[in-house]
Amino acid sequence: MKDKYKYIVIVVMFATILGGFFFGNILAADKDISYDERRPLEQFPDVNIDDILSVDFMEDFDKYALDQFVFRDAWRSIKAFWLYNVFGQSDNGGIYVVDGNVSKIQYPLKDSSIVKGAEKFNTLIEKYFPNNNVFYSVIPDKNYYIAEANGYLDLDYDKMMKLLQEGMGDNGTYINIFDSLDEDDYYNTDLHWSQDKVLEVANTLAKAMGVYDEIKDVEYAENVIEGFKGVYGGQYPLPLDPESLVYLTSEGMDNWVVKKLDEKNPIVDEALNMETTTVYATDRFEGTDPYDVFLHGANPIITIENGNNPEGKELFIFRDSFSSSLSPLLVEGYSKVTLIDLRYITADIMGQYIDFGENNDVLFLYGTAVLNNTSLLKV
Amino acid sequence: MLFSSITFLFYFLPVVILLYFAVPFKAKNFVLFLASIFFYFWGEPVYSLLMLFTITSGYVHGRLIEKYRGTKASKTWMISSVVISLALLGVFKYTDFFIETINGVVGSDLDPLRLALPIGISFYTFQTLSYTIDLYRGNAKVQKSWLNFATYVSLFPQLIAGPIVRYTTVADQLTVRKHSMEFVAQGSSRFIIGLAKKVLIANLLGEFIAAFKDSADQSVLFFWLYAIAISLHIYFDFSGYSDMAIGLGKIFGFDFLENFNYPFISKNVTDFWRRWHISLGTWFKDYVYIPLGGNRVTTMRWILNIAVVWFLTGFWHGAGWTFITWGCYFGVLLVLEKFFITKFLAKLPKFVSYIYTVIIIMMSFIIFDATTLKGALGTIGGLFGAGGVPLISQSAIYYLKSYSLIFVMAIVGATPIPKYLYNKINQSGETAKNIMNIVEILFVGSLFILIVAYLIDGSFNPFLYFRF
Repeated sequence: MKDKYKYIVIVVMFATILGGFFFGNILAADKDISYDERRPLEQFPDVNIDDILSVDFMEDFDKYALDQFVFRDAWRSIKAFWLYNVFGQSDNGGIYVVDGNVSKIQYPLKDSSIVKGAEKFNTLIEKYFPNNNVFYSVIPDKNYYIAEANGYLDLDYDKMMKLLQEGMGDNGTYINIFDSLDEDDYYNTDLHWSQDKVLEVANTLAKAMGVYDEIKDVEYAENVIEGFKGVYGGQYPLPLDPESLVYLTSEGMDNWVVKKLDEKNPIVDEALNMETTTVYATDRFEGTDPYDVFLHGANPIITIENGNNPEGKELFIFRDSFSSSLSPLLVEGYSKVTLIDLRYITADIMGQYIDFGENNDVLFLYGTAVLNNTSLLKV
Repeated sequence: MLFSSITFLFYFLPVVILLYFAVPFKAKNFVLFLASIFFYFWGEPVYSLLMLFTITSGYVHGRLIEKYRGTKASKTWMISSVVISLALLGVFKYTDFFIETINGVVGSDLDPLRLALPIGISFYTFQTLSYTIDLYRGNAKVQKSWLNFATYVSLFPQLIAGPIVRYTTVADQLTVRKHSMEFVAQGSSRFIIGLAKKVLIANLLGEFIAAFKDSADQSVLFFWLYAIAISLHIYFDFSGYSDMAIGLGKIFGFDFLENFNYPFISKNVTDFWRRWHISLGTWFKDYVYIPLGGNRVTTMRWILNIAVVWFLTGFWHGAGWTFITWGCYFGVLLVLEKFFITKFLAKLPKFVSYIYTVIIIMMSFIIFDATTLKGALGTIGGLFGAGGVPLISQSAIYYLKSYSLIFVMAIVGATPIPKYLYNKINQSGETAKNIMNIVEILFVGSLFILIVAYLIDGSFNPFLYFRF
């Protein structure tokens, strides 16, 4: 090809790419949500003098231009394909895949976060649970089972547990569930475990808390929703096999009353404003996070009253999202289970409105990701 | 507005190019000026007025210098121009540094002004100074059109991160310049290559550096990888920006001088500074070093001249002791090279000179990247195992494996090898040249697509030299 034609082709190509995407971006309708990325997309910012002079408008427009770029998901796939297969990089923003199992690197261990977390738990125990039975356990992320063996970075779990147990001292009994899990118990496309695979975890916890006899004979029916793609699946923009989301039901659940805090109007007449709901929310499967099927996803306070065991103890679980699927498996051991998520409610407010009673069980049950970021806990 | 942003690439640039080529020649500078003001306003709405003031000050001083040429007043106006420009730079860039230094030395409790640093002020101040000084010296003709002068100072391709384009370089092009398909094609290719250096190499090395800084699992290997990464990161970030500026300039008919010439193949520090940020090095040489007497003075005076120039070079890069140390580090090395090192190296095999230079450069960029001198010394110590860090760590191995191809690309890309191979094939016959033309089109097009993909799914995208 002669130079003259090369110049023409380059100019036409450059102009076509610039002009094509300029008009494409202007003409394409804006989207509200990226289902793949599980997040709302930036919308065209309001135009006003204050925002322009403070550069907020420009910064928001930059985000808008990125989020609403035409064929955004296809661009993300191109980048991911190139990154993994040509540049040979091990992870894409921490996301890696081993035999179709997607995970995200949790690294490094933040020692101070673990120490601070133990201090926060101790503060709660000393203030609210002097006469209750306190337990604590740690949910390993799935990197614990797949990272090191496949050459990926992971947390120093031994050090994490040592720091936590040293920090907790005699405040509570540690329950080890690391040995009750393996990599197959987690979804391939999500960070969470599958409810039907954690019965052993529930049994381990129940044995330690003395309620194993009440839960051991519960029979569950498996309910399956096909086409599950978890949050990691969305962050990994290359093709993955869809999975099945399984949720367990039992006859006894008919006698449960589930309530969650009305987050829009949380306090009414100086009491928590709880609204009755269901254990499972299958309509949430089509939302941005299908794992919200379990107990409707994130909520500061959820209670499950168990009509099958009215004389039993109460259980208070300080928790993250893993407990949404696990806690229903423990309910038959108690008269009432209360789930408290301190990422969304402060300990002071919680303490004002919840009566923890005496001789009840308290379980601090957090995943390693939250323990490594305990600044999220509002204590 | 970053060149490597969707806003610039797919909103601003298409509109500006379209308008620029749609209007007659006499309106082109007006389009460029408006575009440049909008470009600056996007990132610095309030400081746009400061830039307009600087432009007008430079323009008025230029007219006055010319008007009183041959009299003492001409010199007075030149000095006035220098004082005003440097005063603005001093107030906005260096006031807090001086306040904090005074507080530290005498124990006072003066409040810093905490003024935001106007983007690119170091660059456009130096450009304005080059005009008034060259005009006074008789090396440049007065610019009678405010619009043309404003277009020169504010020209968006080089406004906020250089290269420092001297007025004399583009004076003629402000009134007469050629536009052609060839220039636009060459400019577009150069722009895309620069963008690729920034997005596909510098940003990825930046991610590696962030991982190093976050890691609690340091090792000697990790420190050395960091030293290599930060050196290449700064080079690809800054030279990528210069490539983009030169490419954009070419699209609009301007010829900017080269700013880098493979600095990592330098055989000593003196050579390095002939190849690194050439527009800054020559600026200090012509406007500070030579007026001080250059090397045609006594040895002690020459050392003083070197000290002044390199103190200012460091200080220009940032109002902090790490930058001053960085500049002085080079000053000391240049003096040592003059008297000892060059003679010593001449007796050794050539590769020793290259290794010496690369190590010296890596050390310098560790200082450049550090927030404190203590931090810089800690990192340099880490290279040699100070503090008992192990030789190898799990993190170092992981990131080395993950970024190995990026490192190889960056190291090879920092040498003239790709250009040599390109020229070699191009010159090997008509058929090979024709094939290379097709390859070039596919290469540039693919790069652009890949860059867009990385921009849309990327998070690490700052430009280092915006802060200067």
